[in-house]
Amino acid sequence: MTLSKYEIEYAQKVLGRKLSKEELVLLEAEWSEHCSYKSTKEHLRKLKTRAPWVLVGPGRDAGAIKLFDDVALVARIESHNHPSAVDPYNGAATGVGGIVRDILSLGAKPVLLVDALYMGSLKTKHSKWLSSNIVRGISDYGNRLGIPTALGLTWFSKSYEKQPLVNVACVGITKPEKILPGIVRPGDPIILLGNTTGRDGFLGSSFASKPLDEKDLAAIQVGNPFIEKLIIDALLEAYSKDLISHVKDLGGGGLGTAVVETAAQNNVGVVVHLDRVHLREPDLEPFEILGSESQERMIVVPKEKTKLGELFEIFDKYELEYSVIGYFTRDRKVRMYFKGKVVVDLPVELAVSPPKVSREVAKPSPKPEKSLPENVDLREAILKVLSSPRVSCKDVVYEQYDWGVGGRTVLPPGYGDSAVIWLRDGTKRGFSAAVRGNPRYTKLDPFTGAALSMAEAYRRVAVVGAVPLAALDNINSGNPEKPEQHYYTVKMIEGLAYASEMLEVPIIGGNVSLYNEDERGSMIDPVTSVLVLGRVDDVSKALSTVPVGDSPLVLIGETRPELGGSELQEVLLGEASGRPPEFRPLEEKKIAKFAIEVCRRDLAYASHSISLGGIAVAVSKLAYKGRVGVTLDISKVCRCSPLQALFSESQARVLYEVKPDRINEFLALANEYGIKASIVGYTTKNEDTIRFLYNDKEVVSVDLEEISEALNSLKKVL
Amino acid sequence: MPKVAIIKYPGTNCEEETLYAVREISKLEGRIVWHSDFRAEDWDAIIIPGGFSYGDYGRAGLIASWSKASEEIRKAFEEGVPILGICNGFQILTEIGILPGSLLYNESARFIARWVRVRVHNPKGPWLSFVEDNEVLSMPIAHAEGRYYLNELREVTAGPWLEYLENPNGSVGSIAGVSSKDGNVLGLMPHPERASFPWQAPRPFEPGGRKIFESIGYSLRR
Amino acid sequence: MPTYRVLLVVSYKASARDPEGETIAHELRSLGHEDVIKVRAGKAFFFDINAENKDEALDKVKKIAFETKLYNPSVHEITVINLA
Repeated sequence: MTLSKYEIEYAQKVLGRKLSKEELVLLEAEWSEHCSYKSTKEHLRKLKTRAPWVLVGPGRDAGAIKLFDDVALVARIESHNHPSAVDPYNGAATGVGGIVRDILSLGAKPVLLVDALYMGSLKTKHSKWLSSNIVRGISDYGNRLGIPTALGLTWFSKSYEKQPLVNVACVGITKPEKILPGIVRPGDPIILLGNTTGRDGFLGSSFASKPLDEKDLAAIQVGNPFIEKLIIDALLEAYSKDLISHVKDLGGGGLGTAVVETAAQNNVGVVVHLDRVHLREPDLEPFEILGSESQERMIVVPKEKTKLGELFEIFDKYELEYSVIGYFTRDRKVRMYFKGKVVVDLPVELAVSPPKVSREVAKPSPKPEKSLPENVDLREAILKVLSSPRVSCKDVVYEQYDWGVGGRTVLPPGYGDSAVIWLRDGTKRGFSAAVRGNPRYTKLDPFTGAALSMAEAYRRVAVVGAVPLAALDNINSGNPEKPEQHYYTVKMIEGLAYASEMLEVPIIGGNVSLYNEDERGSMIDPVTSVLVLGRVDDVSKALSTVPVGDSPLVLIGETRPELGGSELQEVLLGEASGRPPEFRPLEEKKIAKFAIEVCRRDLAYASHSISLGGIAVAVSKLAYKGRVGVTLDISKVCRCSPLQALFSESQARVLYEVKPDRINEFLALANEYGIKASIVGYTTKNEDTIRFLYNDKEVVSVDLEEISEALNSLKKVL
Repeated sequence: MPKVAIIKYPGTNCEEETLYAVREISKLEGRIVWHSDFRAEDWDAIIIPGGFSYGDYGRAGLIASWSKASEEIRKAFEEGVPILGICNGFQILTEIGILPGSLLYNESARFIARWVRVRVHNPKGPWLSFVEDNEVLSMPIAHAEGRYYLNELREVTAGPWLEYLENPNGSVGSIAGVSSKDGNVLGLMPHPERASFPWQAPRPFEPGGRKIFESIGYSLRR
Repeated sequence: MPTYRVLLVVSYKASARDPEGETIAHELRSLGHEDVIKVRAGKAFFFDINAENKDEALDKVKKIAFETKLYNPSVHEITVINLA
C-alpha cells in the first residue's frame, strides 16, 4: 500500500465516510505516482508541447503529429523498470505489450518498436541474467506482434546491476482524421476486450511507485503476445469499418484507472458491474477484479450501439473474449457494483485529484573533474574504448529483434544513425526516429544531460535527412521524497524544457519513472531517454553509416576539449567526473538544417553523428561497417591534444564521407550555413588499416581486424 | 488478371508487405484470405506468408497445420497451383508434409534477424523463372526455428534449392529453401518481400527478393 | 559414485499464466479433443549426474537449477523426477 495515512484521511473527509476496500484499491492506483504524476506535474508544465503540426499533445494514451497532410504519426514512450528487475523476461515483454496498446488507443497501426535499455556491468552473473532475459523478453514478445523493433539504445553500467531501466516506445501511423477522439457520451456501453482477468499482476502501478522489496513478486505478469496480436488485428479491422469511438488500454491501475480516466476526460460518470468481467479464476473478489493488471486487456466503446453485432463478429473471428461491463452516465460519479451491491461510489473529480504533495529539492555538491593519466597510449585507448560494451556493436542484441517485419525498414539497426521507416503507400515517403540517453551526462549535470539526450536524437534524425518534428521523453530517477534525489528529476525536466524550446521541437508525450533506488536507498544513475521523430520525403535518399571508399572524410562542427563524462574518462578512470559537454542549441540547429540539405542533394555516401567515444569511435565504426581503410589527420580535428581531438564528446558534430565529385558543393554548402567543415582524412577501398596522422605524420595505426575484434566484444559477454 | 491468395492464420504478420509486392512487382491481383475461408479452386497461386501463426506455440507451424486450410492447400498442390511458403509459411508447408524436412530451433538457440546471401541451385518453376543457376540473391532472414533438417539431402538437392553463403542457423547443407521437383512449390526462410525495393536493401546488399515476385508475375501472365 | 538420470521440468507457477499451454489446450479442444482439461507447457532438461544416491541426485539438480537461474523462482516452479 502506498496511499499515505494523510491521503486516506483526506478522501474520507471529502466523502464524510469511510472508504470501502474497493475504493481504497481504486485510489491506491489513481493516486499513485505512476498514474497521477503528483510529484512532477507542476514541473512538467514547463515543457513546450505545442506546434501547428501537433494533433494530440501529452495527456492521452499517446501523442500525435501531422507527418504529411494525409498521414499522422502516433507515439508513446513508457518505462517498465520495476517489473524488469524482478522478472526481466516477462517484465520487459509486458512493457512492449502495454506500449503497443497505447498506440492502438489512438486508432493507429503500430509500425515501429523502440527500446532504450540501461543494464548492469555484465561482469556479474546477476547482471548477465537480467540483460539477456530482458533482450529475450522483448524478442519473444515483440517479434510475435509483427511490429519491427528497428531502433534502440543499450547502455551498461554497474549502477544498473540490480535495477535495470527498460524504456520502450512505439510509433504508429494513421490518417489525421482517423485518430480516435477519445470521446464518450452518457449511455455509451463499455466493452472489456481480451485476456481474462486474474490475480496476476495485482496493482503493479503502485508497485512502480515505491522502492522494490521482496514481497513484490506477486505482482509479476506473464505476457501473451499471441492474444496481443489478435487484439491488434481485430481493432485495426474494426477501425477500418469505423465501428469504434474510444479505446483505452488497461495498463497501470487496471480496470478502475481506465474507466475513471476516460470519464474524467469527458466530464461524465461511469457505472461498472464488476461481476460481468470475464475472469480467469471464478472466485475473484471485487477488489481483485478492480485492481488486477492482467495483460492484454482493453476497454472499447462502440461508435454506434446499433452496430455492436458487427463489432462482436470481428472479435469472434479472432476468437477474442469480451464482456459488456457497464456504461457512461451523466452524473460525474464512478459507481461500481458487485452482485447488486455498490462497492465504489466516488466523485470522478476526487478519484483523479490526489491532495497536493510538497517535494523539496536539494542540490548535491559537485565532484571536481579527475585528471586523466599522462602519456596515455593512443592505440591502447582506442581499442579500450571500442571494446567497452557501451560502444561495442550491438548486433548480438538487435539481431534477436525482428527489425524488418512490415517491409518498411529502410535503415536496419547498425546501418544508420537513426531508424528510417517507409510508409509503403505507393510513395517514397517515410519517417525517421532516434532515441538517445547518456546516464553519465545526466548524473554529472541533469539539466545539460537531459538537453543533450534531446540534441543527440534530434541530430541523428536530421543526419539521415529527416526534418525533426516531435520528441517524447522518459525520465528515470530516484525517490521524490528525498530532496537530493528529486533534484535530478526536476533538473532533467528543466533541461528538456530548455532544449525543446531552443530546438523548436515540441514534446508530445512522456513518462516519469521515480523510485529507482536500490535496497540501500541509493539512486541509480538518473537518465532521460529522448525519442525524436522526423519527416522523410524520400526514404531512398536516407544516408547510411556504410561508406564506399576512396572518398574524403569531412568533419562538420567544432571540436572542443570536452572530456568530462566521456567514454574515455570512464574507461581509463573507472568513473565519470567533471562537466559533460555543453549543449549548444544554435549550432545544433544549423547543423540539422545543413544535414537535411546534404541528403536532399545527395552529396555524401555515408555519415556518422559523433557522440560516445568521439571521432575515434565514429571513424572506426565507419571503417568497420564499410570494410574500408581510413586515414585521419588528428591535427585537422582541432587545436588540442591528440587525446582530446580523438575522444572529445563535443556535441553538434557529424562526420561525413563525401562523394568526391561533390566535395566543392559540400564545402560551399557548409560555408553558406555558417558551419565549420574540415577535411580530416579519406577512406580507401581494399585497405584494412586505420591510420591516424598528426601534421601529416603517422602517430598510430590500427588494423581493421583489431577494430573488428574490439567492436565485437559484446558478443563474448552477452 | 491471375489471382494470388495470401493466406492469413491467427498470428500471421507478413501478409501486408507480401500483398504489396504481389501488386507492385508481380502486377497480379492479390488478396489476403483468412485461413478458414480459403478454398483451393478460387486461386491461380498461393502464398503462405511469414509470421508467428498461433504464437509458434508447440512448434512453429504446428497448430496452423491443424487448420482445415491444410486440406485445401493439399488439393491445390495436387492440381499444380504454384505455392510459395515464406518463413513461417515454409514451416507450415513442411508441417503439412508438402515439402520435405523439418525446421528446428536455430543452433544459437536465439532468434536471428540479419541480411544474408543465398545461392540458387537448379532454378525451375514459376517462382524462379527469372533466376539463373548459381545466381546469388540477398534477402533478410528473421526466425528462431529455421535450422533445416533432412536425413537424405539428395531428395531436395536434385531439384531447385537455396543455399546460404554463410550458414546462420546450422541448417544441414546450409539449406535456406527447398522446392518440389518441378519447382511449383517453393519454401524458403529468407524474406523476399523485404528485399523487393532498392531502399529496403542497405549497402552493400541488393534487393534479391524482387526476382521471385517478377518471376511469378511473368509465369502466371504468360 | 554412481550416475543418475534426472528429469528437470521448468514451468510457470500455477498462479501465473501459461500462454503456450493455454493456446494448445484451446486448439486441441476445438479440434474435437474435448477431454483435454488443461495443458501446461514447460522446458525439460535431462541431467546425467553423479551422486551417492537418488535423493542426492535430485537435490543436486534442484540446487544447480536454483543457483544458475535455470528457472526464475518468482514465476516458475520446477519438477524433478528420477528416471534411472
